Amino acid sequence: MEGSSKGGVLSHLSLLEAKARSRKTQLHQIKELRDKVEALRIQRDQLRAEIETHKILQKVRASLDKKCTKGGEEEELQVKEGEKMNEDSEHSQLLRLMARHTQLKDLLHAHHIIGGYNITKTIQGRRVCASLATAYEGVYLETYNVEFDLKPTVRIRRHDVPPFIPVDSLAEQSNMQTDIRAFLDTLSKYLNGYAGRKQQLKLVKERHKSVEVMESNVLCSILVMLLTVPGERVTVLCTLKYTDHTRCLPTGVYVQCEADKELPDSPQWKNNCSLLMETPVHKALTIMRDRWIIA
Amino acid sequence: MGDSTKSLLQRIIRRIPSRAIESTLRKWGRLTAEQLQSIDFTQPKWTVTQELLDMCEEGNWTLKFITELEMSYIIDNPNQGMWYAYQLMNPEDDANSVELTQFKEQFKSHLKQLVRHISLKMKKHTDEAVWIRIAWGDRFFQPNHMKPTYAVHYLQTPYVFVTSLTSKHKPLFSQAMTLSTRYQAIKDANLSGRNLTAIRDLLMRQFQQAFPTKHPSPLAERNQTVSHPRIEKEQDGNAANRLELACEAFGGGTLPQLQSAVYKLETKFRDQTNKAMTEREESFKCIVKFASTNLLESLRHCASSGFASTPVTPLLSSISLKGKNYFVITDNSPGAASQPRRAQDK
Amino acid sequence: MSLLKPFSKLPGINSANILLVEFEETFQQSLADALVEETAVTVNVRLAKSLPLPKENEENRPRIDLVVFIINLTTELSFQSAEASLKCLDSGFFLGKVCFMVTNARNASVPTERLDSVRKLAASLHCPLLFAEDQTPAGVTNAAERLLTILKVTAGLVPMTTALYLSNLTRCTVPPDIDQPTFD
Repeated sequence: MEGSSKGGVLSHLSLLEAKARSRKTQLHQIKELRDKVEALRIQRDQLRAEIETHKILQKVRASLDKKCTKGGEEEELQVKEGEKMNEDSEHSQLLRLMARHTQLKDLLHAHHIIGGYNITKTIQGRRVCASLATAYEGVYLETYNVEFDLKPTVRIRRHDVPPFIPVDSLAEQSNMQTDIRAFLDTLSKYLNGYAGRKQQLKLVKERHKSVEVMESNVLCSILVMLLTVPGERVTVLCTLKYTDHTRCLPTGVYVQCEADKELPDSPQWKNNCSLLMETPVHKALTIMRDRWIIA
Repeated sequence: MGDSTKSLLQRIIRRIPSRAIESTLRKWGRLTAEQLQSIDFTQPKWTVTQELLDMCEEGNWTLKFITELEMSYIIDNPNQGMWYAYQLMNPEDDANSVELTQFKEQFKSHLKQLVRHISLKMKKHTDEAVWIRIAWGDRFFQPNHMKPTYAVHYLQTPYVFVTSLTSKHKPLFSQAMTLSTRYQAIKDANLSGRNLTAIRDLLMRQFQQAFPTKHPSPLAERNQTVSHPRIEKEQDGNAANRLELACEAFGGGTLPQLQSAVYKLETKFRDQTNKAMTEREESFKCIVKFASTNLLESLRHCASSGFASTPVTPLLSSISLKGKNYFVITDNSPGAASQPRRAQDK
Repeated sequence: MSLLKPFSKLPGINSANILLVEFEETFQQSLADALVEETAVTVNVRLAKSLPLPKENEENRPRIDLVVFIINLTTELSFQSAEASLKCLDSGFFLGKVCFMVTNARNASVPTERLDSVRKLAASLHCPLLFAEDQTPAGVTNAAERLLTILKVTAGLVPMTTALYLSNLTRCTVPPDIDQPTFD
């Protein structure tokens, strides 16, 4: 069907057929467009109604929240009041349930934010999957998942935790059969520590162009930086070691200077070392830059 | 010495495709700007090679320079030979604090103690990987630079990826590796492939795995195709369910490019129609090999389209679950619980 | 096993319902999209991977006027699945309400025996056998056209003819030499 009448009678026929088909569809299109207008109108009305319900829902929700904060006798009073208020609306019962649902959902969300784990049952409760979110300074970073077999014993089936985090030895150390939560807590600490260090390294690279990162590793447990002292053009080699992998702060800071052997012992740099020990590295570097210690 | 340098240079240039020669030389950084300018890269490859050989003679390039060139080319184009994965086992307490300089020194000194003539080169790549090039010699011969072994290791991880390591040098390499990374043993991880990134991603769990969560999965959202109101799928749930199971078994998104999976069967022959074989005492040995340009992708498609039954058999899902593509299946411990090991011959 | 019956429900006005059964579930989608383009009659398309159909849909499933088995010749499984599905059809369907559609018949890697077995199957059930090209849009519209022609008859929308009458003219016959060895 190349659209040429040279191809013979059959192809010409199919061409005609295609033409007839397209004419038919044109007529049909108008009808379809009309239908669409109608459908969109209905959708608009629906949305309007939804907005209305949502408004009422928020009102109910607000009264519910109030109830939760106040206690004792007052609560009962509030309930009665609330009932009175909603009696005029037809679906007050339903609305109240819906509001309660949203409230519970928010609670769950809050629980998730403060460090709860999202646990999902799979295959009729024979397996569970826990997802551990990592965050650093209020920024959500990667989420890692661990799937457990529950029967015959609690056992890690699979996970996507990077290999430099010792999941298996952590699992061995903790009593997983009875207390899965303790294991998840430790693992979460490790993961958050790792994510935090990684984020710090990223921030250092982004914000401190004058600082040259000489060495780091996948676990981000070591960080060697070349700092430049302004004015004198002296470079200082600064090594941070993070032996505690659950934390984002270094356990050791070492300073070396080729040009000035005395420099690491100077009170100013001793001060800097303690600063680096106590503050996250990217922040410490910003402070040091503001004090004109480094470029 | 001069001859071997030149022949090595010749050999390397022969491996590099002509369109990549210029960029590789630039990256190498041993040529001055004038030298680079003087070479006309549009010429046939052998003329370029000749010019480089002349420069090599003039500039008195050492073997070290040439190996650098080779290494930088291999790092950028690692998918040339078969890569085998090894797993380090039983870390010592200080295994996590091994740092690069310490590792380099240790590895060098350990290997030099074992082999007298050896040429080692190590380089840290931008993605934290330590690349090691080893040219092996022995008591009487100088290191053979024509067949170097390449190894890639990420510090603090228990995996080493090795290419072109002969069985003769394997124990030496293993010993040096375990000692310098502060582990106690090394074993074959039963994973091999032409694509280094793929086997690395598989072992390091850097590919996107699908886990059941409460949040709507991107999978489900992606599959909501707008359909015509007059078209209805009878078994709609099945397809979505199959896809989910397939993704859970093999991973979502783009999967690591694995070329093959080998199953070595040492089981009893079971077929009611074939009495003669079934009644034999000894086990029936055979090797089943699955090969594809992207095996995991093919398997996932098989499972999601219903060609393979879901839930996926553990034999297949173990590939991505355990990061292995060589399995030995015996009767006493059937299924994925078998003790997989790689055959000694390569 | 619940049988799918052709006459258990009342037909709708000016509408025709077609059931596409394909193991791979690829061609049926594009074919369905082409089928619903038809404007003269309301065409409802049901898609299935294999029969029997799930019981939950029993209620709102309209009367099926034509069952099409799409067989991809490149895989044996496609044929086997269709063969297994046939058992879940009421015999009433075989009075002209079933047809087979074969894709990838021109593929060089397909063994000729497979096509022969499909032909034998179609012939033994007195069903028409259609060949379709699933890769090009033109091929898809063509296939849809041919199915629509049959569908309109089987749905009783064409005066003066019936499914049984049509199937007598269109059903597949096995050439007498199909089992003879070929020497080319």
